[in-house]
Amino acid sequence: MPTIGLFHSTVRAEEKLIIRAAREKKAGIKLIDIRNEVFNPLHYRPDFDIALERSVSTVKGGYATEFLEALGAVVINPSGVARICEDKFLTSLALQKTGVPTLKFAMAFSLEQAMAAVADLGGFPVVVKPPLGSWGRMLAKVNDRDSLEAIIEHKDVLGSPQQKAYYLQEYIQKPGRDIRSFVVGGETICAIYRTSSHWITNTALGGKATNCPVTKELSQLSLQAAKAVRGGILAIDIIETSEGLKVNEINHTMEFKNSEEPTGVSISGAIVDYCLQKINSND
Amino acid sequence: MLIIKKVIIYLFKSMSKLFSICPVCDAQVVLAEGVEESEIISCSDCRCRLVVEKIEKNTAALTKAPEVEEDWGE
Repeated sequence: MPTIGLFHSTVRAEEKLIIRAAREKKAGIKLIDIRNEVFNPLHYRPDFDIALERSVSTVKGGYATEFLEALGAVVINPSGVARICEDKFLTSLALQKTGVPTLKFAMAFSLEQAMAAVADLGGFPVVVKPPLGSWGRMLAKVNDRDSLEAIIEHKDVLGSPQQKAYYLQEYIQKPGRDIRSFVVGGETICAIYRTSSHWITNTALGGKATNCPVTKELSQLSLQAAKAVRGGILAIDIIETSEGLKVNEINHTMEFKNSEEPTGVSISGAIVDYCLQKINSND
Repeated sequence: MLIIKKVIIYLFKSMSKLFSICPVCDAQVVLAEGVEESEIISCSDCRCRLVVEKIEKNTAALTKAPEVEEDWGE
């Protein structure tokens, strides 16, 4: 029986859905808490056919993936995909480089450079984000120079080195919602609207998920975005703008517990199927 | 006869449930069916977030869940 090694830390509802889907499909699933592992290449013996990296910690998940790949294991998603998607600046660069419609962005390391970047982006308001981070945490909509000064001073004094790299993005007036599409193995399997009265629409912050029809335009944009970061199992965050759909961010260990019910699509089942296909294609 | 059957079913269900003690407030915690090790649950009394560290027979070891860290996410 083919076995998926599910590398996790905290088990979320998503991991439980994947476990259940694997058991329903009679696939072997081995739960491996990366916090209990010793990743020593002299002693580690993989006892699974494919690794599915689902760590809630980006740093730990990244090291686990690199380690397993060094031993010759196939990991979903591969380290190259994770490295781009975990960093908003690298994601934006990959999207821009491949011509995928995305929001204007810049990186700066000081207040003066950040002010110059704001001018380049078309002026205030702008959005300042930590390059690494998720769940809509520590995002700031900055309306004027005073606010930008305050945010940058706080980051300089209180932040980690990563927080001292300022990722700035143009602010888009959204129609009270954005779109998250799910791409698995080169197919856009479903999408949701994330609706919120707040400008941050993450479902982790209370945004409501409803089904979003997968139009040809949405599917093509999602696939282009997935290809730009080298494919795999991805959630593409998309904003509706006056100039059409634009990709905002891409998630490589996506959460989807609120998306299976409104879409009627078993995202967990598609993830398991993709892993099994990968096992077969590597045989 | 029906009452005896109901009592037997109740006892069977009670025995198959997972129980533990909240490490924060000492309240008894009944874990949901299908709970997995490393899952985070909440104590119904003190509402603290707890990690299911180990499941053995019909008991589970719980510890206080860590705070959300900077690199946590999707």
